[in-house]
Amino acid sequence: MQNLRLNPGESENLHWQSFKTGNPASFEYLYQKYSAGLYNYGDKFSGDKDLIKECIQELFVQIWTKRSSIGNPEHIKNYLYKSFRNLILKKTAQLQKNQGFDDLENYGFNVSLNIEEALIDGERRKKISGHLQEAISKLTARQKEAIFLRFYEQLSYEEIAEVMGITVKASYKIMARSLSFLRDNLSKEDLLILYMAFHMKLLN
Amino acid sequence: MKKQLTDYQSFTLEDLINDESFMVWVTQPNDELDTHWSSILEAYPGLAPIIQEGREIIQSMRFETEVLDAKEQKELWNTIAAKTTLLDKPIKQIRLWSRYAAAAILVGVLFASGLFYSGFRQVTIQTPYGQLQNVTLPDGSLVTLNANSNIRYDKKWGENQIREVWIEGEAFLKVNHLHKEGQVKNNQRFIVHTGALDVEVLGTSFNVNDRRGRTAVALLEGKVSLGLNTTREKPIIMAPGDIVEYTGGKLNKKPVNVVEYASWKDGKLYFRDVPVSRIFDYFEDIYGYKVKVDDPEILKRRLSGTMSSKNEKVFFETIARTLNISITPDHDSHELIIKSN
Repeated sequence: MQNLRLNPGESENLHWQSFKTGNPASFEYLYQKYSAGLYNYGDKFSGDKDLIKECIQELFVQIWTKRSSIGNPEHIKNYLYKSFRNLILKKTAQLQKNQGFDDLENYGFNVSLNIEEALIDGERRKKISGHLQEAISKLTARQKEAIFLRFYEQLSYEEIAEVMGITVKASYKIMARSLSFLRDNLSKEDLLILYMAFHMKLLN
Repeated sequence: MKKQLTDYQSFTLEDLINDESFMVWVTQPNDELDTHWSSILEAYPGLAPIIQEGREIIQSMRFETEVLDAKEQKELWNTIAAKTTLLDKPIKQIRLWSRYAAAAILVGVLFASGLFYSGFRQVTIQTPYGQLQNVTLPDGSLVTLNANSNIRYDKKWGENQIREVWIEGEAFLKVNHLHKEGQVKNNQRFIVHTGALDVEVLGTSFNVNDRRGRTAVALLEGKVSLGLNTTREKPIIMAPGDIVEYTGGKLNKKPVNVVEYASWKDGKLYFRDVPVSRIFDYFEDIYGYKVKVDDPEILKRRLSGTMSSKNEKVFFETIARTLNISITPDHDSHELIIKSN
């Protein structure tokens, strides 16, 4: 029961090997597979779309240039996300001239959470979404990022730690804190509505 | 490594959220996980509220996605390619071993993709002369295939696969509309390939006719975009009621009564001032006869009217009477002898 995560597939590893020997098709495969996800991830750090695209460009140019010396990362996705994250943080820090370059910890991460439309519609959904959004906005950037990586990208705690450059223990801690914070900040009424909606979904 | 049932006894909400299998169960449930979690619930009914709560937390996590649209993605790729793969000229000195390694990997990739595609074999359906056939596509979309036509498509359509069919002859399609809102995903797209045209569809019923070097698409409802598959010109967007005809390298849009146009599927044909030569072409396409006309003047006449095409004999009779000619099928030579009375 522990190992239920879907196997990312042999083909990705084959493409990675092939990319390292300089196969343009495999390189493009990696781009096609990851560019949209990276763009969405990058958007959470900065609203500057051109900056995000610049970072994606730099990331791919970089890995192509040093393709022969790159190792075989255990998870290709993590490797790309991590390198991309570093690029973005560096770039945004450079843009904020008044901040020191080492201050990579001080970043923004903005996520919007929505409740699935199928569950509840109209005013109620807006209201609950509002509450959820408000609670989320009170989390720190790290907490938000961990939640995003866990629930949206479905990374494991080990993988979150790798991407964010923290220990596995710290990634558990961050998640536990943010979840209990969310629970405390959502009213009983919100939870009740969610309950009902959930039951309705089960019945359908 | 497998967790014992008793491990769950004192589970807290945090434990649940941290549990890999719980997360997968909520987001991508399957039978095995359903069984696993129902047995836990049965053993420890006390866990029900936190399981409920855990599910809600995970399920309510709908993050807004910032979409990189296809055009931007392509442009960005072009920039990257220009700085990378396009820059690298073919490497002149490849050490032998790395050449072998590359070849071995390529074989590996080919082999892997061969395995992958063997599960997606194609289906081809060909109708004989004089017979229609209804076909249900893997997604439930409906196709009525006219006589002497064929359709080809993948047996299964994957989760992230564009729905594609290849049609020769004539077909009426009623496409299952999968796209509701937001960015159009691959599996919500539906493309019909004909000899010269690609018809891209979003939930629609329409008629495709691809015969004699002429392709015509008639749209009854919904929206389709239509592009030549040879050029990169802008596709034409069709509205209900439009017929677009492709002939002699040109696309022409013209308003016709499209319901009449696709009526063959119900065994009826409408003609509005149609040249008789066109009707004879139809006899050849649908019934497989070679038409022999003794008086070419007949071909220049025009015909209007509704007739039933369900029965070949009755259909020929009706036309013969209307035009005051005789139509005699010769079943041995597959010729249709047409004489003016």
